[in-house]
Amino acid sequence: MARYLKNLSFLIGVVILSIMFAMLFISFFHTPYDVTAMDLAHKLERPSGEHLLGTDQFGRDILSRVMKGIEVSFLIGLTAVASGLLLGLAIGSVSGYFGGKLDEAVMKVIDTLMAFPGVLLAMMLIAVFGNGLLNTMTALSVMAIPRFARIARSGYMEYRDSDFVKAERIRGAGSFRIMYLHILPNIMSELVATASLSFASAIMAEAGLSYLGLGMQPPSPSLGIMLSEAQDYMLRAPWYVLIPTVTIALLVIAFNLIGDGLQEVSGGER
Amino acid sequence: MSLLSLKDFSISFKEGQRVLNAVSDIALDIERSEMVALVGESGCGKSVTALSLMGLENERAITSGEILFEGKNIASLSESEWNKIRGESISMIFQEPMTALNPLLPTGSQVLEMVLTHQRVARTEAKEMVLDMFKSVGLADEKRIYKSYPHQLSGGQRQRIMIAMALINNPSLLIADEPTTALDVTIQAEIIELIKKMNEEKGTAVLLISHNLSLVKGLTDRSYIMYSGRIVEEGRSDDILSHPIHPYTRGLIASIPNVKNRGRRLYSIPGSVPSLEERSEQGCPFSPRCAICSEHCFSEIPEKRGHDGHTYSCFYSESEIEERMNG
Amino acid sequence: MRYYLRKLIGLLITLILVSLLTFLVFQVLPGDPALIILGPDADAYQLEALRASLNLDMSPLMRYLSWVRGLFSGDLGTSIRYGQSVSSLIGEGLKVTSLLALYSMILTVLIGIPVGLFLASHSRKKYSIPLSVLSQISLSVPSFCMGIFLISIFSVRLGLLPSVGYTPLSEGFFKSFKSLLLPSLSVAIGSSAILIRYVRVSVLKENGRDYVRTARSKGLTRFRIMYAHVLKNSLIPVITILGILTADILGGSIIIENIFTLPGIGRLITVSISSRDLPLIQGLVLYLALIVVICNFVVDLIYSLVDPRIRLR
Repeated sequence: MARYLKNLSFLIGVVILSIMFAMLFISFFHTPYDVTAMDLAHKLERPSGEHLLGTDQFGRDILSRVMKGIEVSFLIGLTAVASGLLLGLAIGSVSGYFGGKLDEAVMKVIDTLMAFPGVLLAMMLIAVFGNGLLNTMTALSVMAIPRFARIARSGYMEYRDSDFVKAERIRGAGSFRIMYLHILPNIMSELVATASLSFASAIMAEAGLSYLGLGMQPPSPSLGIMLSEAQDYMLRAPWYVLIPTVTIALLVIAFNLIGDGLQEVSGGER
Repeated sequence: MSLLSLKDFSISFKEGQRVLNAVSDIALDIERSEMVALVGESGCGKSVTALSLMGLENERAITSGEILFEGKNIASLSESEWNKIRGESISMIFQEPMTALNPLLPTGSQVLEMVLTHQRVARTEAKEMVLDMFKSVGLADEKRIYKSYPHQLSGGQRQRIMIAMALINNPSLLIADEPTTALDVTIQAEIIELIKKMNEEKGTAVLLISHNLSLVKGLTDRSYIMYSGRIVEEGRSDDILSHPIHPYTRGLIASIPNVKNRGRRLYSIPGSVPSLEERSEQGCPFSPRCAICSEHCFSEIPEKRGHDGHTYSCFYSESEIEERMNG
Repeated sequence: MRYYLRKLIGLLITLILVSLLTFLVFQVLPGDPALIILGPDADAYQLEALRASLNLDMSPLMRYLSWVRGLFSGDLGTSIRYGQSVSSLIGEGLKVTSLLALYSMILTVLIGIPVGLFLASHSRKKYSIPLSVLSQISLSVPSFCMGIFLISIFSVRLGLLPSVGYTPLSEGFFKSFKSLLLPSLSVAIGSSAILIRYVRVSVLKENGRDYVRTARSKGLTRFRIMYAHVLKNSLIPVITILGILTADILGGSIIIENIFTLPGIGRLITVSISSRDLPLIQGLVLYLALIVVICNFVVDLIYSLVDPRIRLR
């Protein structure tokens, strides 16, 4: 851990993320105002002691909405990355470890999936299943699979003929045991780095979809929805546009930096 | 006046707080049209010396002393001054012909570039020169080779192209850094023959850098034996080969297979060349591996001694070395 | 020759897979598509008519084949939302989107390659820290945030460029270019940051190669070594990245078009999804994926032209 913290990218990423986590944690128990409480007498107010980040077009407290928005981002990012990682690992490990015709077929399908720009893949699924939280999660999970599958596959291909795997095989260990008890720890650092980068893409994609009205639906406080609503008030309330923009950017930067840092440190060890 | 002479020439690297000496106070002379060998095991500082003769040493390297080329000190030239010398007065061929050429350009145009950079000739004329040069370095099918990419040619052919490129501007000095090490044994002799032939025909002086003393035999006029960044023995090549004095040179020669030691176990010098970090700055550099060293050898650096151009750096005289080695 | 043949077969297989996948996704739609599209209030006659136009009475295989045949004859069905043929809608949208993507790609290359080269040849600490901060930011700010940001600066504050709307090429190149400048810049900033990274790493790697030492020993200037030797070699891996960026740029354009209300494919997609216009969505997704696949194929071809070693394989 200490050598990770020496990496500047990783360190900055962790600091930003900790702040975001703190806001997320507090939002579970307390937000300054109710996120949906409207107060039309105080709409589009500048940041002040009363409302630290100002209010939106319905007089709702922006800080409270951003806190809940972060929650949505994390929720969707986490499910997308977790299911993308699990499914991608399952596909990539079998494909890479056993190789052969199966591998060829699987990779052809993964390559085909990669021909669809990530957002388009998610949009296609939303078109079929409809929007909302659960469907957005599903769509972004599918979007994350190919990347993990590729990384896992190349990792398993690298290690499947290595000496320690051969030794385990001679000892009579089963394929499942070798794959997940012996090979997996070796490619874990790379998968974790990919997870961090995928987290960033998922957050970006959710914000994009919600911005277009294809992801989360108002009045739920997604950062993307805030952004599309704020866009109309760009002249009157520039801070209103700026706040969700900066929040999204910070979240993405944090995960990108952590992913980069992890890659740099584990890459330097080889 | 020598064509090239190194005086008190040193190269060092700064590694954190420590200064590591790769080459220490060497002196070396090359006359016009002469063929000189610089011999030593790998890691002794030959290649760094060669690169610094073209101003191509690593950016972190610190050099001191003089490099007199045609009487002018070129040790601290600017990049653009160097570019007038490189490829025109001094040129170089490298150990790895497989990677020394740009993989994406046809070989002919890479040699052509060498001509056009240094000579004011028309493109068509320059191309003729390249084709002629290809023929004279023994590339028979020169028109096809001109258009070929490096990956389509063998290692020997590529090294011939490197030689053609190095010599096309008639430089006065050619530095050949282990030119045959990466090649098949049968090709090695051909390439060495070619370098010799070019030296004789064109009068280009050659500094041949090698770890292989047997290669030097009958080929070079004089040899310098280098160990751990210092010259330990120098003299006429046939003299050194038939009559080595320094214990290191003796060891090198004893480890060459020949008729006399056939069937016997080949000699090898005990120990290995210390890495740059491990080098001791005190005493004779060879003392840790020397069979005849005494306490004295570990604390002081021996002066150069000898006569008739055959000199060596050891505390013992020729007869003393002889005695101690046999005793 | 065999290399190209193999590549061509690979392309055909991918094209078939892409179309099959697009088709299949829309087959798993739960329930009756006609009912979903028209809503529960539709009468039986309307439903029957829509079912017939969607070929719902055919078997899935026949439906796929007739859809693919339609792809070649330019008949992908009729859009429910617009009542026009899907192909003509896509054709109209493509004019805008392809122009936007093209400008974005050009900007990406124009920014990414020179800056990457500059950073590689001046890899000193002094510039590297502020520049890496800047590149990290441009990498991380989503293109639509970038778009909003650019609008608020160049249109709202400075009033220099239009914030919304599209001027077609027929009204003059400059006017049209101006209407697409901010959108393509929004896309290009992020993708050029990716490109810069790759160019820099690639050039630094090439600078350490033996042939560069040979080139220096020939007495070439650093500039000459850079553009005559290193550049071509280091751009080979960069070409791959450009292939990957095509997908990125197209994906980015989809969202960006909505911010700048450009009448392109991205706008059509959003509208078609919101209005559940299945024939249109299916056609759009297929076309976009085909474009990405073909772009990647072209990248492979360029690759083989630049690197003589590949053609032999």
